[in-house]
Amino acid sequence: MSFLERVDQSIRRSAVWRSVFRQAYPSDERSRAMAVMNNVFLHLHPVRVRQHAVKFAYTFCLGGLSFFLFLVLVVTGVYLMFFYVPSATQAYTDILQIQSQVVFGLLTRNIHRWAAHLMVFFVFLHMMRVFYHGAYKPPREFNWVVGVVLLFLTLMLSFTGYLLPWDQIAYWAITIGTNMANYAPLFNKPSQLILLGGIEVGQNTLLRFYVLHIMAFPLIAAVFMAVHFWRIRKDGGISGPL
Amino acid sequence: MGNWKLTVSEQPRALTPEVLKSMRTGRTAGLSRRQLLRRSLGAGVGLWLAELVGGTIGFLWPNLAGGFGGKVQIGDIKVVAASPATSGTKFSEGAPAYFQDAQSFIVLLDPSRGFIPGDNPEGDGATTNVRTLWQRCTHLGCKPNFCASNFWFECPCHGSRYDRLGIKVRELGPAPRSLDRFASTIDAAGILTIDTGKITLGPLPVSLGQPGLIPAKGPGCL
Repeated sequence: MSFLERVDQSIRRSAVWRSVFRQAYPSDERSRAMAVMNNVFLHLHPVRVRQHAVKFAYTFCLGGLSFFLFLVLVVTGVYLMFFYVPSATQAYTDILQIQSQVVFGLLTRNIHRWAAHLMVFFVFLHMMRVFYHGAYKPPREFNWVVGVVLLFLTLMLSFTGYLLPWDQIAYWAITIGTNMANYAPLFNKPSQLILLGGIEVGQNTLLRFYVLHIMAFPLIAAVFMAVHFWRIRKDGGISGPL
Repeated sequence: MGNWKLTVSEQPRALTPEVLKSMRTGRTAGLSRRQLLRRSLGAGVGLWLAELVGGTIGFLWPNLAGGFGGKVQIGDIKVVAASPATSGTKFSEGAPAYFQDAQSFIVLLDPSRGFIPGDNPEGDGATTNVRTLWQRCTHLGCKPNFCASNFWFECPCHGSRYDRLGIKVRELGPAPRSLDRFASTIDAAGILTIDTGKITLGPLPVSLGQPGLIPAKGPGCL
């Protein structure tokens, strides 16, 4: 037995390793299935998928791409938060400084921006794909509803993120967007006041949109995504061709 | 490496379902396909993680230019005189000015003369007539206040006294040395820039009554 193999074995036999990994490295079909079922992240997915489900031209990976873009947005968003202060006097300068002073700052911001555009696009395409396949039909009707909530959350994440650069286009876009809330029946004025935290777009609005953008909506979206993926398994896997 | 090293007894076999199954589950000689994929994936992910860590450190590394820790541009003598450390004292009479961005007290060595353009790498003002002192008491880091009545710096924490040029009074207070100095430059237009990344430790304390220490003008503030 070589030195590396002995080190490898002593690590695998240690109490610490075995407290983390309850089973040996999966070597046959049964233990591989167990490895998926026993993992908190993997268990959301079905252990086995039907052959048609992995055909690229059936799903075009649209849901997976949307989720991948969400992860990209979370990671780049965390990076950007290190250099951004949601203050009416500082926000715009911070954006300029991220682009000019921070190492990889321009790259990070552009990845965040493009991933955001693409996520809206792919979520939309994913919804179209599900619609044209009739994959919303029972028993998957509730997962369609979860998906509609996720579409709403995606759009709200996009909308709240739009204000954060605090430039002219952001300011007036949010002014228009929140004025649209003014046309809602019954709760028109209150909903606008709650959104803006005042009677016009200002420091309170920036802070509110920031908190919604970086904390509230991503958390809610993550919960709904977990349910969304888990329901695919519970509803019998990806729908087959008709 | 691979599955081509089959023993003679295994070679000519019809690929019946049973044989395929046994080939799937049996151990392979050398590096199996799964092992190759696993190790390549591990190496790829490892490389990616190393790049990610490197990039993250680069991203989070503070940019010191323009802030404290880098060069801070203050302005000409009018700007400096307009920001006295203690209200009621005059920069032109030898009292220090104070700038929070640079954490600096700025004081003229000879109040009868103004700024002299030049380089001041030690921060003592020998060439430029301007001494640029770090606000940090050399004892435990409090900010000494400039007292208008005795024209000394007095540290509120443990009572260290420094004269108006930052020289520590040996008998008064626990600080081990005089106030530290920042390097600074004055350009041809008379604009003072303090390099807060370049610190020269202050000299040793001077006893009361000895040359090199400016005596108190009156009663202290502490």
